[in-house]
Amino acid sequence: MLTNYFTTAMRAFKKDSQHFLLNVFGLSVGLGAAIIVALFTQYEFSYDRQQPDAERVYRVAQDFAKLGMGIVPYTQYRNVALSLKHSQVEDAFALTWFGSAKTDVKYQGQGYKLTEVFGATPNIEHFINMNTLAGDLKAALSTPDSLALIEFEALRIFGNVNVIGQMLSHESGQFTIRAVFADLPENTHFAFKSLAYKEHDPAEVYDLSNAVYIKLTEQADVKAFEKLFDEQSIAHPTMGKMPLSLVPLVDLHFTAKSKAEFKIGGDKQNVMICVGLSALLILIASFNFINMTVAQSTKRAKEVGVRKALGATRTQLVVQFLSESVLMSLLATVIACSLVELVLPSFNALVGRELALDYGSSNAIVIVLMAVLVGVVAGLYPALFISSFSAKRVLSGDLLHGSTATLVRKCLLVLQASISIALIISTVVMNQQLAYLQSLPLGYETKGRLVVSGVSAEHVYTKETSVLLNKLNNIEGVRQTTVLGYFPTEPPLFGTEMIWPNGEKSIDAIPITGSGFNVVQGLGLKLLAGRDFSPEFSGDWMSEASDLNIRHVGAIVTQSVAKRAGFSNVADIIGKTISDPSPQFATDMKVVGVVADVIIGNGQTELIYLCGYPNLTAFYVMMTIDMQNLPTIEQQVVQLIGEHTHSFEPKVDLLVDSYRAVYRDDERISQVVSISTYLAIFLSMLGTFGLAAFSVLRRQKEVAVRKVLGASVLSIVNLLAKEFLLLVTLGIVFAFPVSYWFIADWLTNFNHTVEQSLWVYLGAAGFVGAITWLTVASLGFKAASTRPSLILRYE
Amino acid sequence: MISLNNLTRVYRASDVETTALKSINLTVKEGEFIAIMGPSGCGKSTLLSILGMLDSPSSGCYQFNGDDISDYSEAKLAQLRKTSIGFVFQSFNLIDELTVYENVELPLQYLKISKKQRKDRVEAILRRMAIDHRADHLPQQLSGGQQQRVAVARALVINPKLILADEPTGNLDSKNGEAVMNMLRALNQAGTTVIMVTHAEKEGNYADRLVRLLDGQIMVDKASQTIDTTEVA
Repeated sequence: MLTNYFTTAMRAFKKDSQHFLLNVFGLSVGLGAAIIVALFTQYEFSYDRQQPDAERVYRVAQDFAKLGMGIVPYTQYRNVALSLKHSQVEDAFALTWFGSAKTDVKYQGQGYKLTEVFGATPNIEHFINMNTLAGDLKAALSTPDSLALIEFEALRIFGNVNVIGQMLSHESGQFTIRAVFADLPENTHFAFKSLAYKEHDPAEVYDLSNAVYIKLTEQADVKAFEKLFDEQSIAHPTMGKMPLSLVPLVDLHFTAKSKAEFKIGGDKQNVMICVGLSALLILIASFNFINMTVAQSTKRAKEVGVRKALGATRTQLVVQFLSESVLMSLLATVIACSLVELVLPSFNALVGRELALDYGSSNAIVIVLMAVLVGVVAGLYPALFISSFSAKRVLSGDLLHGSTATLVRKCLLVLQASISIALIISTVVMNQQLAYLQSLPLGYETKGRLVVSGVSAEHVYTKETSVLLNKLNNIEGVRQTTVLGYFPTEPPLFGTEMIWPNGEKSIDAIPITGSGFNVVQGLGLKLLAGRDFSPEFSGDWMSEASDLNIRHVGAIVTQSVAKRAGFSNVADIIGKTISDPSPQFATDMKVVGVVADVIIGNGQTELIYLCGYPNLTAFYVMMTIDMQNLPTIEQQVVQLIGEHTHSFEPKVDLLVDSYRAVYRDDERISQVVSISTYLAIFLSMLGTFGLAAFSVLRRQKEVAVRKVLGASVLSIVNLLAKEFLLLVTLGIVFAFPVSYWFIADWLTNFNHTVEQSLWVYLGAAGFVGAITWLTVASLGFKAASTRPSLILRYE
Repeated sequence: MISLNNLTRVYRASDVETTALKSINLTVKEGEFIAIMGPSGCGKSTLLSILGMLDSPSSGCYQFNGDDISDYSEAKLAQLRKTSIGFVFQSFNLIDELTVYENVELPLQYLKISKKQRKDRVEAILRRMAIDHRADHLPQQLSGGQQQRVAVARALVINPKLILADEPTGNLDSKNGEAVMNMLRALNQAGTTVIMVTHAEKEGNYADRLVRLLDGQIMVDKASQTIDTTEVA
């Protein structure tokens, strides 16, 4: 019987190939989008699930809110020992920042910069699924002066992975390579490239550079343990008690947002937007399928009648038509898979992932199931509808001319129109918002600024201009250089509680950063009062601690800080002193200037620049340059830094690029929405086209009669289009409130937002209306231009 | 074989009620050849649909082989229909997407008969209808007469007890029409019950019994003249 269904289906497809192609193509596009998004979603949720006992592993997070840093994944090493005292803890592991001290290495006279170097406890393989290619990882992590290299670094430096026993020399000694491990997969939050032996001291209390992972026993009560663990944690000697919490390893990709993360995580909201959009596309494609199938159903009416007369039950007919739609959906899936193969590379570039469609894995089953599901869901209504034809009416020659489920078709068209309109509105507003964000006054300049990261303090961060800084300054095309304690697009990680000039204490930590002379000029800050840091004023650069153990330093504050300190007229704070009372770092900061607020990251505006303040060991050199000299400048910078600092391969960025990267995620999601919008409009128009073709055919006689009676071509086209435009109008009624609500919700993610303007809404509605009219008109003109006699003589 | 008792069929379309059949009483014995005649709109087609179990009466009783089937489920009706009744239509109603062979095979498939048996029976009936050389053609490639022979073959392939024919010659020229009528006559003589709707008096003469309908009621129910003449002869 299935063969019979199959034959009938194939011949019916062949007979009406235009609709068949529209249907299959529409479904393919919808399914293709769904497959890509399914791959993306699956990938996003696969992060760190490959690690051993991943579901029982938690990372300790420490709340640095007092320092203005939020929740940060770093804590003291002693928390490892602390956790192991609990019976609920099976094992604990620490990954420790190695610092940049020994990471500039030489091999056979050639200098290399080792990046992302961490120390780790030797039990790393209980927590991370490591693939050791050579040597012994455990030995490397428990023998002093040992290094374990990632495959990528081994190949970069040595050209092969069999390098066990090789030496890399650094400033104060040398590393022995004791292990080489395979590159980490993309879908993990870990991002180290080299692991170095690091001595851990459980008694150490200051050092907050350990990412601590705890594996709980299977019976452990996470909540109870977390509470106990936090209660038992000991306050930091200078920063006080900072609450500890546990974050599940498998959630880190989505939940860990700190700037101090190993790498930028994913955004669940973005994944959900993608899922929602692909669902919409499938929905639109299914609507097309339902609409066209139902509209075409009269062509199958006779078959239904005959089959009924020959003894087919309704169930058998439903099964027949369902298998037809499943067949079509499977066919569409094959095409969809080829589309996916075509588009996946571009999508990967867009989302920054390495997705691949693997037909050998469970992917294939999921895809087939999805195809069947779409076939059944989209085919169910048409199947029920077609199988309900009365055999008696069909067979007595009264082929259906009346109802062809018009109401359902109209509702579906309305829905399609509203989806298209809503998507257009979303696209436009999202793009407006991103353009707006990028046009906001930042308070500093990004144009013509080159930033060299990680230059050690002793070579550039000195009161007397260093040799290196002088040489950098003398490169042709460099106008000015200054030194900064933070990267201008990333909020400084350090802050402290202050005592304002009026003796009041700040309620929370105020971010501070070190900076060299002429920071206002170098960063292009807008000076509101006072002056820039300058070598002419000997008090600007931070002094050594005096007898009272207090350091003195010149400060430039942002407008917000001045207002926080209680100065509504910001000029009044000039000459006043803000102090940091903490015993280890007691500092008096004499305000010499006030600048306009700077927007950093997601809108932080409070910041105090302190001249010569040592908040880092390696600093950022800001260079104002002539852009046409960029290539030679970059080359000379790398060369000079190598010569003077034993620091190799320094990171050099154009500030404009880094600034753009801040909004990369938002830009990506806006692009995904844009693409979905085009697809949705395209699919909707495909559907409108199919239905219009049907409607024109049905109204052929009416058109002919009207023409005979003297109607113009245009009036006939409008008559045909009116039906569809009415539905678009109805679609607007649904689209406007839904988009307004959705976009308003999305905009709450930003501190500075655009207004939703009426013209966007009207424009979107007008656009969909115009496209609809054009689609119908393209068919209507043909129908209206046909000589009436050709139609009427067949009647 | 068939007994209709006080059978009524009423159609409701929004506010308008149309009585298509009114208090029909009709008994059909096995082996009869009945012609149902009447002007268009008199309820002939409705009666045939009810007899063919494609439609249900609004009230009254329909006994088929002694069982009252007026409250049978759809599935049960379909079962009874596919085993006992063959249909022949005015517009042939062959499925355009299926070949001659596949069209004739279709009722056997619904009867879940094995492929081998289907092949034998379809080929036999096509030979009997002298249409076997056209087995692989699609309906549109055949003449009207040939199409109707296929339709008759499809009706006969299940060896039905009852053949319902709805104006079987309506779309045929007189020569082909006569051939189809002779075929039905021959079938009847071989023992199959035939009920035929027609409005051509000439065709009515092929039947044993003539039922005339007017406005949904039976006006005349009598043995036709043909029978008389044969009896006389």
